[in-house]
Amino acid sequence: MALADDIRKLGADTRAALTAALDYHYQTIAIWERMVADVSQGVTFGVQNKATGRVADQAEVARNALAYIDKYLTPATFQQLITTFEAFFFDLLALWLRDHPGILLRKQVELETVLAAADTTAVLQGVIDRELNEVKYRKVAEWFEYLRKLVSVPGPSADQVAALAEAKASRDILVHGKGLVNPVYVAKAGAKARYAVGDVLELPDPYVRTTFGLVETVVGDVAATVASKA
Amino acid sequence: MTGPIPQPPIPLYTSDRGGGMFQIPSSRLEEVHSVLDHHGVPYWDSPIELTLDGRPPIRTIHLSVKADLKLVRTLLDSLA
Repeated sequence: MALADDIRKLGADTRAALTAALDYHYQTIAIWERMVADVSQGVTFGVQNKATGRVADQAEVARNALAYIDKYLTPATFQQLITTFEAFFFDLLALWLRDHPGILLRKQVELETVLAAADTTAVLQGVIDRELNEVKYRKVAEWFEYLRKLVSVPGPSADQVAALAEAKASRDILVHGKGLVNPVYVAKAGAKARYAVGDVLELPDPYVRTTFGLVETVVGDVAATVASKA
Repeated sequence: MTGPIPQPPIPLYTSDRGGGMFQIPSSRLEEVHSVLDHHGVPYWDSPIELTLDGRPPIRTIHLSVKADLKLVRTLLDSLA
């Protein structure tokens, strides 16, 4: 029962974190857009950077608002959505493996590691960390195949998994590819690819909202299903 | 003397990486969508509707980096 409770809490905490991230995102956009609207109505102000002494007037700050929303804020929020999902997924696997250590009985451990560990719990945690670190580098579809080997879960659907894979590929382009679509993105995103090689990857609000809904739904469904099997 | 009162141009904010944004009264959203769609301008609406000091609400429209900003400037001037 403790495992089921832990999984339900993990799911609830993750969904709360996703909602908080989106609230922050939209309320921050509202502040920037409010400022732009004020400038359009004739409001004036200056912002001095005390480190450099440079002063930006209201027109410059209003011009920068576009980049602050589309280039910084939205990619940061999007990355947080995907990172939060990844943390949920691998925390879930770790909870399950800690409660079902027999799954890992055939894994080899260096004697040096055993001797250096405080107790068998620490040895098991080391094996779980190593196992999951290896899984993390696989494709998203393979993450769910791994989960299904541990516990029989019907979802998420193939379409949901493909959409998650595209979202993760988009995140990877933002983090590692300077926002320019490359062949790796196209390969990872498959049929769900939104852009061609060489395109600038954008995060229109409808896409961000769809991704939020997808992640929130998958987290809720997977947590509920796995908890029911614990 | 009679005639339409000239309206100030709608500010169009642009980015050095492409793309842009502008704000319009929410009451004109459908009209602006129709014009942008007709000219194949890629855009999306901000999820925020601003209400400032009791004035009519405002929506922000974001333009894709693929949008032709000169065309959008012309379209906005025709709307103003």
